Amino acid sequence: MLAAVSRHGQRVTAADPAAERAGIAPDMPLADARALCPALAVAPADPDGDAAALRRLALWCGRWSPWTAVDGADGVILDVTGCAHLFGGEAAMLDDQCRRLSGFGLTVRVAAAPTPGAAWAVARYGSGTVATIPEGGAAAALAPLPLAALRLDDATVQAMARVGLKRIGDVQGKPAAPLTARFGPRPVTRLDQALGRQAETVHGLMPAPRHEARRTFADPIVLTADVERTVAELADDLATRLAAAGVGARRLALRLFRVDGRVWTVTVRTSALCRDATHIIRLFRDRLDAGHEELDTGFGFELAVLAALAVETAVARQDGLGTAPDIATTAPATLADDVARLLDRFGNRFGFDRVVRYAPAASMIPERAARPVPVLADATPSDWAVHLRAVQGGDQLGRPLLLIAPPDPVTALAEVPDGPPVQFEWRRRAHRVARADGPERLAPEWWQPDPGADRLTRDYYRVEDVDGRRFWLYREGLYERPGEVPRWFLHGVFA
Amino acid sequence: MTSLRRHLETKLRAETFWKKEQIMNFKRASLPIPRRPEPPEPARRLDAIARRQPLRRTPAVVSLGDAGLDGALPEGGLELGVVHEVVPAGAADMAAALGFGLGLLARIAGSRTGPVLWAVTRDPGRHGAAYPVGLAAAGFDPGRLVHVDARTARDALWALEESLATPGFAAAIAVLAHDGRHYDFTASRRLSLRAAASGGTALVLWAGGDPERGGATAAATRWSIAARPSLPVHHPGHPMPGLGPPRWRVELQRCKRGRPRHWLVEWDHETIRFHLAAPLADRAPVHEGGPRQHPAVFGRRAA
Repeated sequence: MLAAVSRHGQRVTAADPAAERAGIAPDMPLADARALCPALAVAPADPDGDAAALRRLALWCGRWSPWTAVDGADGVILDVTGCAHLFGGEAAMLDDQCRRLSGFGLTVRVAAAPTPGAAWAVARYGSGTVATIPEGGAAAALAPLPLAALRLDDATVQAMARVGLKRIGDVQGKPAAPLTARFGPRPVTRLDQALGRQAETVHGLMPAPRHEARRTFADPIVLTADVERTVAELADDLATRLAAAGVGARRLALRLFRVDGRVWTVTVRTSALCRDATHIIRLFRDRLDAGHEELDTGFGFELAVLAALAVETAVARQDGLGTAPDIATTAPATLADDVARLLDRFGNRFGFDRVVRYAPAASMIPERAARPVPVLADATPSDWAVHLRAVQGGDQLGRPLLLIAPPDPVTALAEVPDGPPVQFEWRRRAHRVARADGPERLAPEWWQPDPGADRLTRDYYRVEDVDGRRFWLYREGLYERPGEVPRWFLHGVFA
Repeated sequence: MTSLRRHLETKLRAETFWKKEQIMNFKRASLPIPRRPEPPEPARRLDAIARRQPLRRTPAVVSLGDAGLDGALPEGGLELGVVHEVVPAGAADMAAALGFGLGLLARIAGSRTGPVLWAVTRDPGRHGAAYPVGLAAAGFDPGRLVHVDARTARDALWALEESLATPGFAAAIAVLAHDGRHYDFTASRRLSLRAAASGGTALVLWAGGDPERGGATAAATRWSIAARPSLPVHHPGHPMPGLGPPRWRVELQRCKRGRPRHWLVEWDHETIRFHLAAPLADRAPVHEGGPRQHPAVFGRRAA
């Protein structure tokens, strides 16, 4: 029996059948419950844990249909349109669901109906463990159920009861306008949704796959080697389906359904269209290798599903004749493909934000002159020619090889206010400057609405100390402007 | 009794047999072995295949841009299809080592097409991140760069190995700022085998080996770099001279079939070549083309 602390003290949240027989009901104070039954086992209620467990169960119910959602605090709703034939018919599927879920130790009531509203009503207020409403039979099946089965709140139900409307059958034949005027739009909307006159969709927890390959195991598999072999078979299967449909996948998900009600999902993404089984297998194998510590098989996996979540139309391309890794005979398109696949593997292993190319940005501020572009994005080749001309042409001082972000403050001593420093101290080491170039003045970008930290003009100097090490220093703030206190920073290191 | 006698007889026969064998071996060893004439090339190749020995091919090399440097290397240039190591001489020479490594990378990547992999590890010493505009200033096209932030050295070396196996990559470099103990003989041997199989070249920039263990790796060369003062560029009216091209003391510490040597080397970012520099700072460097002209106009600089 579960109890929780609410604003009126400790109250009973849920009671098992034995406690209910003793007369304990939910929302009764705990002291009263203890008085009714002294030898009572009380456990603290954990609503967050319950919600998490229900979500896991909803994900696990994805073995029957990809559109599953959590329904309230004690239910799971599935959209099984078009899924029943995979399990031998609707009746067989419902029996399977009932059997498996009660095998977890849960008390289950399953109902299938043409609309979510009707299914909700029959599951909670109907009779029997398994109920089916045939197409067009919703009105007849819902008629004897109480009005609370229409997902209305207590106040509305009581108001309607005062008028004499107690069952759904009472409301079904009535005109809508007086009901709406009296009780608001909700009852009529709910009735229409239950009877199918208004559409209602189930928003699934998982994205729905476009193409899918699945394998069921008579004996649950436990070993990682078995999982990898399964992935290989599923990848072959899925590649055939994708090729037959003329599409390529950009996002793939591997879902492994455990025997005890949990799902383990691995998602990989590719930068280019993929329908090559070997590439898919390598991507998943990298992920399984990298995350094999978290792969908790529990009692084993009994169902493996490989789904292509995002697909795009593929354009067929002519391959080169050479297959050996000899650059001279391999077509450049194949080489580019190999590079793209390797970058996919890097991205899936390290994260796509950590595999980047650099594109030039039109800014003189050094931190913003180049921006990282993830390889997943469209790979338009960036044009560094303009930048190359600018830095190599000698109009600028030159840019450092390594940039320190954020810049390190240094204490520097300059001979003249506008001149380069003659010595400076950085990271507690003193450097005496032997050579210096500069200054190069970079002003803040006045067209930016909020320049932020770059409000002050910077004078950059390229200095070399007596040991031959070169640094990129700047002085922020100008002496001739009142209110600015010039400070020195070290922004980068040259080769 | 008979079994003992038979046992003794067998023993005596065995001893006599082995003594005869020893005498025969001694006789064989003391005879001069007639030398066969060298078989022609196809027969030699077939021999090698039959004996399953690797045939020594002439390795592909790329010139470093300076005849003096090229001549000092055993293959006449920087060898391709192997692993090279660059080690900073001191803790503050990391940027110098990176600059030299970048020069090698630019020379290697200049001979092939394709992207160049740059794998980095975590940087607790805050040396700084690779700046693409600076790479462009040094003569390396940052559009060819693929930057992979592999946090650990293991992941960085894995990325290096995979890029060696992909023929579409021109070259690859792994910068192991710390955690260099993962790069040991086994890891370097694996990289070398992969490079030899595919023909790609890899550079590893790391903080040097464990001195107790000797720091032996299977790389083809190891370069130790230290920063040196550059040639000053004098401008009238300015109190301090300007910076010349970057100059390093490059020491070839380990080289297969070569001797350890050291030079003073400069990098020219416009022609993307190395140059040997004269030791005294104020003397013009000696190389084939004669003394080089330094631009005297303020504003035009070498990066």
